[in-house]
Amino acid sequence: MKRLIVRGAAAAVVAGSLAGCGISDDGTVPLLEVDALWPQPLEYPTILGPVSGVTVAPDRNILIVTITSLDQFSAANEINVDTGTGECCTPTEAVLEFAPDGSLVRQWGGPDQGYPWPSRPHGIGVDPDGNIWIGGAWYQPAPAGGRGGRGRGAAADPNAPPPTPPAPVYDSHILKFSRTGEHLATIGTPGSAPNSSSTNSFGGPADFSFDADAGEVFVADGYTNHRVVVLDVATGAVKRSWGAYGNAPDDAPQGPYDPSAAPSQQFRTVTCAELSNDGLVYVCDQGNNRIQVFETDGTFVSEVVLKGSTRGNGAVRDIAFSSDPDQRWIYVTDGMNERVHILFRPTLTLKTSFGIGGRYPGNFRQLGGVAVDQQGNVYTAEDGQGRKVQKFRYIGVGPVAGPELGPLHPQATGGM
Amino acid sequence: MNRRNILIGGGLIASIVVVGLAQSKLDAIAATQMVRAPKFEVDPYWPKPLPNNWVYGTVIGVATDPQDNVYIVHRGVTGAEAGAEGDTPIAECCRSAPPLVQFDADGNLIRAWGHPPGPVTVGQASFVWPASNHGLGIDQEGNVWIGGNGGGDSHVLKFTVDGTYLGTYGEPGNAPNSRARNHFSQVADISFNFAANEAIFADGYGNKRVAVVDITSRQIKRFWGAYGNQPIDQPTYRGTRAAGQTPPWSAERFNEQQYRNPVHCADPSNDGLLYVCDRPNNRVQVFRLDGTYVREAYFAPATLGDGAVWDIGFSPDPEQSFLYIADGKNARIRIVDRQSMQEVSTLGTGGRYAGEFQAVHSLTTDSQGNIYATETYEGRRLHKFVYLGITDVPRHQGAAWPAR
Repeated sequence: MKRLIVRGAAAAVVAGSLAGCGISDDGTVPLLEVDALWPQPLEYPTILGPVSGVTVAPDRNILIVTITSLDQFSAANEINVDTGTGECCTPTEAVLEFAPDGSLVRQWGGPDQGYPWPSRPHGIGVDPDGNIWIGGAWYQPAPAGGRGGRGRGAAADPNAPPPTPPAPVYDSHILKFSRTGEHLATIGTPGSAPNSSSTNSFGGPADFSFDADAGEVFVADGYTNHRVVVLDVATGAVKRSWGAYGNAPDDAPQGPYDPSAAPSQQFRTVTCAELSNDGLVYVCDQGNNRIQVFETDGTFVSEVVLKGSTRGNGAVRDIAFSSDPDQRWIYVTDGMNERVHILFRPTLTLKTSFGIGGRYPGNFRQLGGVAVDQQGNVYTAEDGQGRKVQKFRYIGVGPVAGPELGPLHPQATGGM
Repeated sequence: MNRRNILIGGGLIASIVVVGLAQSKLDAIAATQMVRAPKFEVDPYWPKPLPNNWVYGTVIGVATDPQDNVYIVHRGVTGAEAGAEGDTPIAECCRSAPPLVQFDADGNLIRAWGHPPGPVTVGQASFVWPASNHGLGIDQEGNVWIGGNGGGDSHVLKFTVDGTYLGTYGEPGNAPNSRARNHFSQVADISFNFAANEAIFADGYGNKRVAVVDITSRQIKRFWGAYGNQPIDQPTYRGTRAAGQTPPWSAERFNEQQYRNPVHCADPSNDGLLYVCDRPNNRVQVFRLDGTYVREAYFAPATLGDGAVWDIGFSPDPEQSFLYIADGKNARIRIVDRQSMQEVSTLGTGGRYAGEFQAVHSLTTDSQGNIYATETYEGRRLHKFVYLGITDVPRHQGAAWPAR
């Protein structure tokens, strides 16, 4: 990642006034349109599972991580090759790499390949050495006999005892691979219970960003821990960590999110930790509907609440910066309201949103990850039953057309 | 039969390998082979986006009217996907679109309407909305007919195009009885023989018959089971085959004398034949409109569970030379030569993108030969495939994306 602004200078600016950094809000935003013909169709009968992470490599290839285990394909009618009931379909490998033109370059990874694949892989990043980092979201398996069973038609025995609750499965580690899928390292101990003070485990590590100059990786930790944790890229050793507002993280239960309550002094779910090129770390506190901004040492800088009345999983799932040198805008994925929000970065002001709920191009279902390539194109990942990576072509910068831009159909189609 | 027995029964491993190699070679050749068949291109931006944060649930019925307007019926969404519904919404998105949604040929929303399940009173009219929406037909007057496959859905409802109640066919609240004359059981699809003033019900998820009804008197005129037999509601014939089931079911797989549920479509051709989807038996049975059995054809016969034959449409040429069969289990529309009943090409593939299916469920055509296809389960879309004429096409047309 390029670091165009010296970190110390940026920090000084932040300590003063963000408006003083020379970037003024001229009312414009990036203009995008959805590309319904990207990526190219996979070969029959393979299909994508839930897409739980997306990133862009320095060579502009797009990598995604998907969930491939059969018990996660809740529609048992979809993986009929695996259930022996039909000709279509079967999951791809877990990691797919696409060229900018949408062709599949390679695929690799998944369970039972000699390394501790997460129950629910989540988040993907490319480090400065070109290696791939993958986290995992803690996963509680569905009770036996509930949704997610493989077969249909097997009648439940009404006299059977209630199913024993399954043991929790903790995704508490990070996997590191070469670009082509060779397992290089397992960081953290798999199967560890949540512990935001741990130096040898994580709690649903959700996403990564990298500081090439400092040799550090920022880990959003995570779905069950409540911290940002900074590791040495080469060794995986924990260097420092912090909670909301820079507080010491606390794993005490927080109860359901209450929009009218005072701002929580702890993170609820930490699902992104993105380093800007002026040395700020933008953290997604998904369950609290907010972004908190820090210096790389964990010093709290600022925050913004988005769609603060949102409950459920929350409105701030992942962020990516626009591709201009100043990274003037932030794209925020919101999988509850099924929108991508565009913020003006210096003031964290919501400018507009695009996308609608649904299953069509420019629609989102369980919107999750987001990434931006070197030309400004935006890639979104849909988890759950969305199961797509979508491309939104960058076509320039212009005035904001309104608070809701819709699914961004190309103009030639006459769409909204 | 012989080859099937070899493959399924085991036989010599060596011969399986030889057969397997030969088949893969044949498939490779077939993949590049061009065949003469209807050609299609998906329109990825059709229909236009819905307003109001509306989304579809499972889309389990589609029909067109004489003006080429397109109608769907769907089931709505629940849980977190319905985040904007209820007294305490948890998000701004999403909420279920009303069950009946109508578009013009350009994909513009015309109107949407419908009711929640159960007894409905609107002005002087009282009727029972289905427990589970399923199946849609548009008659020659433009009226909308709706079936249902939930418990107690033993009737069919008829409305004007904008939702004014016109009548109930059959009585709601009855259990399956394939010989009943006063009700149906979970009618899956509705079509019409306008010349005879008849509605034709694929009956259905509960019953094991085709039922023909006089549109005016609402009386059942005739009904029949597989091969034109008297339908039998024996449990032997109920249910779907589960994954992993091996013989003895294979021994009875062909020539099964009764339909398996659901009887999922009954679509008349313009030359007086009726094409019936016997979904879990993976077969189309062809009848004259009086119920005389003509022939049958199997598709993807090894398919278990939900089966391979879900809905049927016809090509737009005067001879209706081709059938289109929605195969929801195998994620393809099969393009079949109607004379030989042989598959010549396929359309669609698995997946969540344009021209891809999770479970393609219902299918119809318009006057221009375009195909409209819907998805159930987690697909939940209405696709438009634009008809490009009968020409040389690949053996498998795949997602049929337009050129950039």
